[in-house]
Amino acid sequence: MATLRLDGLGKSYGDVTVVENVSLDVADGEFLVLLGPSGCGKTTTLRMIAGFVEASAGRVLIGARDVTGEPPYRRNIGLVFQSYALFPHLTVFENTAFGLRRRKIGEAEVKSRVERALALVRLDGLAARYPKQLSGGQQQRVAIARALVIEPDILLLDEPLSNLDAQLRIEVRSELRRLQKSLGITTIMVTHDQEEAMSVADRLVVLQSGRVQQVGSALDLYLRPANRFVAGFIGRGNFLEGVALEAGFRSAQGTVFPCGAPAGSVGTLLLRPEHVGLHRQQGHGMFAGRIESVRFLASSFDIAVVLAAGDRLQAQLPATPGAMRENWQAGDETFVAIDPAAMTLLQNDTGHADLNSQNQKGVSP
Amino acid sequence: MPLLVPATLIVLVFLAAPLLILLRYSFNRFVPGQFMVEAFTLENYAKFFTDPYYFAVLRTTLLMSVGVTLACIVLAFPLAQVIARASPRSKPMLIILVIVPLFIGNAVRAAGWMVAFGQKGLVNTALAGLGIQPVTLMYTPAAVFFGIISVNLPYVVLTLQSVLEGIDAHLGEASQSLGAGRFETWRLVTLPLAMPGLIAAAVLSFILTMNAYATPLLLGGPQFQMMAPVVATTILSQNNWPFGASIAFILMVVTLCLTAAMNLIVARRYGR
Repeated sequence: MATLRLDGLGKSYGDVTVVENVSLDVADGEFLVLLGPSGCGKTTTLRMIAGFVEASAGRVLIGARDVTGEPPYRRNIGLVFQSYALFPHLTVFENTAFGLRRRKIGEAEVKSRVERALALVRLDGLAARYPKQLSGGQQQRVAIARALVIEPDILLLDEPLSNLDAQLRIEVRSELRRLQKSLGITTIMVTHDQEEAMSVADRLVVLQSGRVQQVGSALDLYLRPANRFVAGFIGRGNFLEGVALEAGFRSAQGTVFPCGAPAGSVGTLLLRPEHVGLHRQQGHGMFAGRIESVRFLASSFDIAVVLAAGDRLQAQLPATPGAMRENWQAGDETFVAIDPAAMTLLQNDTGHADLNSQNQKGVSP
Repeated sequence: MPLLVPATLIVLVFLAAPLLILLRYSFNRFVPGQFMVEAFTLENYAKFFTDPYYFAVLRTTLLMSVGVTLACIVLAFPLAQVIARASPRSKPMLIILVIVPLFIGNAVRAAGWMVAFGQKGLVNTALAGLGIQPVTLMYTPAAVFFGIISVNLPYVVLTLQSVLEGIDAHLGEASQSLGAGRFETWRLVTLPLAMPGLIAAAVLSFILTMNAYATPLLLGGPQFQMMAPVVATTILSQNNWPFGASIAFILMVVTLCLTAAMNLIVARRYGR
């Protein structure tokens, strides 16, 4: 158990920069998730922490120990792979004991520690099996036991749940979270799945094009996204380009939204679909519009609305009995209500050029 | 099933039948001047095991096969590992480089070496030019040893490479993250997982060496004898079909038995 510090960490291959100037402080016992689309540099960052990729710049510190130049086998790191990477020629017991045997620990202690680790992941009784005789979920738990039994300073998880089916994934991730908290082990996980990230992390690090876009709790990132990329990656959003005036934010189509942004700034207005309310009757501060399409998604309705000025918004209504009775249909007249407190203006100066080219269609997944 | 008929026929007609005929010959009696006399005797086999000359030929062949095989595995393993882990761009190139020597027949290659390594060959001419005494390269066991290694090496490299390629690279990383150094990772993870390929490669090299003909004949010279050339000389020069056939069968049985034994021992040592 220890703290982890990344200090200006970078990696380039020739002219191609994969990771640029990543600095992070991870507290003892914290669960940090590196989140981003494929190719954002999250896996390279993880592999630099593990020691499999040599950093081109910066340092990695575990506790007070600078491990930047250390090979992986001297870093005391537990690593869990997406493919589990269990040794197929060794039993569950021998897989779990592998790290302990490298540490020249006595046979009696090896046995008791392996048994404890396997009990921790609820696999006691399967010690004599070979990996291929286990289900995917069981193999994943062996991989976790094998990484934990050596009492690593840091636990690294590389997309550990991606190979599990949806049901199992939810089960394993809550187990992982419980285990991590009860052991108090500093953990870094890499994933591209925002829901997975939000469900386990104390803090999230959103990466894009090798750079840290924002660090914070899930709620921080949702409520105060630093830029459009983060806003689109944590939750969904309607993004409207425009200018802030005295009266509010004026979209390119001409709708004025009463958000309290300083006048004169050019930017993008973020409206979360779940904050867009639909009404049959006009009320104070509502925008007239027409329903374009309705999709029912069991727990919610996804409704596309076109405002009078032409702005297109996605609304997400929870599938309450009230919403069922309302029975919105394409073509219906509607009045859109949005709490001004839920309108977030994103300045355009933060991201890269490529950030702005994405999500032009309003809603990002 | 009907598609299997042609292959089965070819095996029966061109492999099984000649072998059976040869087996029958090996029990015949050789009378000089009369070619071959129908009989049913074990005297050809007895002659092989009682005559120290022939027994020494078998011993030389076995030593050569074991030595060449060990050397091939040791030389090929690092190369196979490099190829297995090479980038998708450089890998096909590396594989082609390994295959290229196979385009040249053993006899042609050995003949080339005779030119290069002879007493008045390329190497010694160059040495003489530098004022160094000529060295004897040709017609030594060492020449045969290195000659057969170079013949077998591509097969061994390719066999090992295909197995190493199938090993998940993350396994080595998992091992290192658990505290195993590079060599320990190789010994505890890579080697056991490569064992099936290693056995296959070793068996291939062993069989190729046991039956090597052109290389020992051309590079070993008259003093150095291995089994396959002896079979040929006995039959072709001495016209002694019964004895030649029996040597051929001894060679075959010894090769089969040792191959099976090697399989068993390694399989037991490394399990599944």
